[in-house]
Amino acid sequence: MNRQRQRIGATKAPLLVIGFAVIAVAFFALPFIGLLWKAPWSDVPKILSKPEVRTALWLSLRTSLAATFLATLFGVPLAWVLARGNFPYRRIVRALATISMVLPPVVGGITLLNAFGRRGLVGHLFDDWFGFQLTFTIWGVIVAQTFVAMPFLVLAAESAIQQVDPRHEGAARTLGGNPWYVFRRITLPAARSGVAAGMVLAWARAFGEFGATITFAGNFPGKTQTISIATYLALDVDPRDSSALSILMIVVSFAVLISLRDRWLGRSDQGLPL
Amino acid sequence: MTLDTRFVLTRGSFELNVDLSFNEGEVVAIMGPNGSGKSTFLHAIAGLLPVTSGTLVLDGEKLDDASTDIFVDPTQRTVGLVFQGGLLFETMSVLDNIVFGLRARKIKRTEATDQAQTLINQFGLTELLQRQPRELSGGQSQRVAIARALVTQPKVLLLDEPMSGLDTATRQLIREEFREVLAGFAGYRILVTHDSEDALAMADRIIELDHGKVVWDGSVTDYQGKV
Repeated sequence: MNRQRQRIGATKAPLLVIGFAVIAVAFFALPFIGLLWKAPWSDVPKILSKPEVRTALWLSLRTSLAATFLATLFGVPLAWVLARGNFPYRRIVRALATISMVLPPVVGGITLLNAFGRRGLVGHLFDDWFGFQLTFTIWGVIVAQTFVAMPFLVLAAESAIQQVDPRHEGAARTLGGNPWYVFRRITLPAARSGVAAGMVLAWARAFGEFGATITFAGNFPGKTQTISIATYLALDVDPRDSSALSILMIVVSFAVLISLRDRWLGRSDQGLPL
Repeated sequence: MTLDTRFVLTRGSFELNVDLSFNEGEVVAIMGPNGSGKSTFLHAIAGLLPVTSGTLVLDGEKLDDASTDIFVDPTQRTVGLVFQGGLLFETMSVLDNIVFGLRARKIKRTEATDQAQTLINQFGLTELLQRQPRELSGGQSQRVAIARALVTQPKVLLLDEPMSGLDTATRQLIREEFREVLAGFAGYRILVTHDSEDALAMADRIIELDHGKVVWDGSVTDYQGKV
């Protein structure tokens, strides 16, 4: 065991692979460096303290947290069904649950309008019965964000639940645990790292959401104008504003992603020294 | 009173075909090579696998009957199964592992701890209660696993390879301890092992399985004569 470990440690990393990896890192880093280089640093504090910016940021924080909550509430059970369930068309259900990851967000927004809009398939019933509409409200923002963010949670949680040893669940059943008790006390705690990673990814996706939100919920300052929408619109009015807002979003998202540990992404070994 | 297992259980291309009766009070060791159906047999009694045909009857109550759709859920069976390797729940403390079966029956934690106290003392686990399973030695894990299985006072105690993964020195020690545990348990006692020394040391009766079929069934004395 020890000997094998040493041998792995002595293995050389392949140079060609490292070369391409370095190019990939540069490709991701350069846009940020460009932004930081062009940023109107002296104006940043002033721009970020504008009331409309703070309103948009506060709205984004609230809606993205609400979307993460909803994505977890419904996404974890869905992940369990996909991981443990035995039913026909499971692959179709999984594709359906994750399609919004690959759809252009605008298309996602259009599908939401057709389902939950005031004249939508379900939305007109809300309107008829309760006089309630999702479109162009903060609830619409949350729905749009949940729609695009939940797949990240579902995929992370599904893979975490699949890795839970089913024999533990069997042991719990022989001890008298009903299915809900086993899910709550055994499955979920064992899958918690994966679920947590999924929550972080879902939150990051919801926080940055733009296309589906503006299509479905519109752009009303204070109501549905999130920080990403404000950033895009600021580009038209004053590019310096949009640079400052971009920096803010990058700082927030980067901090969250850095907090994601290797362990949550399924890596536990030491790796090769590069 | 008896535990009667007369069934066929098919899993893929494997078929377990048994016609066995167990008496309360006897310690039975089930032996056989890997893949002979030993664990499958225990899992069928515990209700983790349904039988394909035939019946499983405990003290006159049908637990599983393929012809009439009777199947008592594992949560409702009075069967304690100790899995190979102990299979403790890694996400909870030793104490929470032990009282799991009581908590699953909606008994409050403090009351459950009280109820488990005798077992905790008997197995010498008092010092370990707040530890996490990964901090235990192999022998300690096995003791916790048995206490966890006994806490709900089952009628049947099933031990799946309780000695596997233990070193020779611990084995000697644990074997003696298990003899006492088995002696102190009044119900049906079935122990799966692939080690004839364990079987001879602990059991009254030995059953040998091979390819899902019983190839030997007799007392320990007869078995020793055979070998």
